[in-house]
Amino acid sequence: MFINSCIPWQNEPTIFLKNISLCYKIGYQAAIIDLKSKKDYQIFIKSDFFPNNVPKIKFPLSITDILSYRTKISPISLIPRVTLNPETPKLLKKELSIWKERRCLIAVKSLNKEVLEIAARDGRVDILSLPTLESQKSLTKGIISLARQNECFLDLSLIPVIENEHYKRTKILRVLYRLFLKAKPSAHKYLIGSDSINDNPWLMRGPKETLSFLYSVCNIPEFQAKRILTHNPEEIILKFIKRDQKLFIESGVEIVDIIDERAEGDLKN
Amino acid sequence: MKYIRQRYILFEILTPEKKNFDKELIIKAIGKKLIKFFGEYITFKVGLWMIRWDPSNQIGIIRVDNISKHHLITAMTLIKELNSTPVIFHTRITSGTIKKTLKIWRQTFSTIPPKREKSELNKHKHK
Repeated sequence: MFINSCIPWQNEPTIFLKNISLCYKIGYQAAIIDLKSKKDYQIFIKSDFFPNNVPKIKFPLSITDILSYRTKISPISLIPRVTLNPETPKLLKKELSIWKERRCLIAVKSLNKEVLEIAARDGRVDILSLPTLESQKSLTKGIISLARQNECFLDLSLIPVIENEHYKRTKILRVLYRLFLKAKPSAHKYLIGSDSINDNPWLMRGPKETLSFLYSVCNIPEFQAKRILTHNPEEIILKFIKRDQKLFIESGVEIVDIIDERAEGDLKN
Repeated sequence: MKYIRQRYILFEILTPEKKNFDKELIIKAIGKKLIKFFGEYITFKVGLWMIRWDPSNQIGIIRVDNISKHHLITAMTLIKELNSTPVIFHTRITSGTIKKTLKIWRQTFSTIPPKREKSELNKHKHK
């Protein structure tokens, strides 16, 4: 299952539906929706794109459970994600305490190195978002190592590469190349999404094309590139589902199975 | 033993409105992008050749070298516009035989692929 790790939310449902259907045509089966504020989150949760009554998931959990997060309107299943953009570490901690118990994934985007360091260390943060050249430059080895230890995903976007040309593109590729040398895709968990397509959804590209790009330009082996596009987003979405169904307690501590009362009685007898 | 193995890429072009693009226009756009991004060295290895093109549905089959398949798809990815209309090149499948590629064309798009142009057939006869 190919999953787009970042599609920006738009308040107008017709435009958003167009973007989603384009995403489906291109070859994605699910997507993570990027919500910028509390207001966006509330609008999305109440909209017809997000299922209000998700049926209880049966064990063992599998990736097909993602499909239960699809409504009749949307062609693909959508998972909410909130991107926090705090200026200071204090503000980050404050915002994290607010968002902790919401039904969404938490991503942090910042140019401040201290903020990124705290975010990478915090277990509540799921994703470090690095869509622009500046944010990729601000990553240090320490932040990358902390993110790896806490199973924090690194979210990239290839849209600036497609959007820009000539010298600007070479600069972006150079930064991307250095990032892949610093944080190798074999050891670190990457996600690739279509961030910053607000103005032009026609810059979105399919999973197979992204895979080819990673292979031929970034020199990432094919199986690793495939893992970035399928396995990593699946993992993070399953984490969300577990949290949503109240099965996830802490990283490493989660409910694996629930025995029915009847079965429990049989065991006692 | 075959020294050069070929791959057939089935692709479609997505546009906001229906358009009829020429076969030559598409090949030129891909070739230009290939030379610009990867240079002449990779471009001669690719061996770009459009085998079938359906202008009404904007579906086509391209033949390439098996090693430089990913380079071609990347070049297609980097194309943003054709005749100042935004486009997305969506590759459906890559196959080793033309027979299977045509079969998948019929199954996925439920249209009949166009036959090979006569001029192209004659070229092969002379060879």
